[in-house]
Amino acid sequence: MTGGIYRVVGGRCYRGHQPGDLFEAKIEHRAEARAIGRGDIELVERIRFTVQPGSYNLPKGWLTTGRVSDG
Amino acid sequence: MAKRIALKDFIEVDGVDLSNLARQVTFESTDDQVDVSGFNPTGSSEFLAGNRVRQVTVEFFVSRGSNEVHQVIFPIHDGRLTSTFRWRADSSASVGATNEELRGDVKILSYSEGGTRGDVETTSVVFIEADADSPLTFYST
Repeated sequence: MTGGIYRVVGGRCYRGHQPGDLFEAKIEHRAEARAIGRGDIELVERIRFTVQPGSYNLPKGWLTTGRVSDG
Repeated sequence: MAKRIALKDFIEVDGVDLSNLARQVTFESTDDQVDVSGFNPTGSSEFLAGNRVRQVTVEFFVSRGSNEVHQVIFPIHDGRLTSTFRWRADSSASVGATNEELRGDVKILSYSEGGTRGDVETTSVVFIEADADSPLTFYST
């Protein structure tokens, strides 16, 4: 799965987005290549989807104590 | 629920809205009828549902411009690729319980084109369910 910000450049809606719209999506790489090749969309920016600090909570006690092996 | 005249259907193939290049759509879900009848006093038959096949047939106006029918559909067939498919009855309304959307991964196992003098060129394309990861079924969200 490939992610990016795309612009709809063809004369038709692409995945519900109007021509001229910018949208962010994960698109399977072969589907992305077909869409770009057909002139449906263009890649504006490649995105690496990552978990942002602060957007999650770790289980209580995690990373506050060192891991101890059983061995 | 009101009766419907098909006018506003939404059809999307491989992400591309082909609604205004289509004029007919038919969804079909079929289970094999497997005979599991045994001898019995009434001679009745007993059946179970076997393999299931789901497919959608769409009649398109053949057009060869950018992002149009030939350019979108033929490469998917030619490359034996899997693509996405979506259909809902009312394109002007959002997906919901009264306007469910049929969607899933499909393959196009055959493709044909051709014209008759003086007639509009159309082609019927069968989109058949491709896998269990994204089965062709109706969604209300």
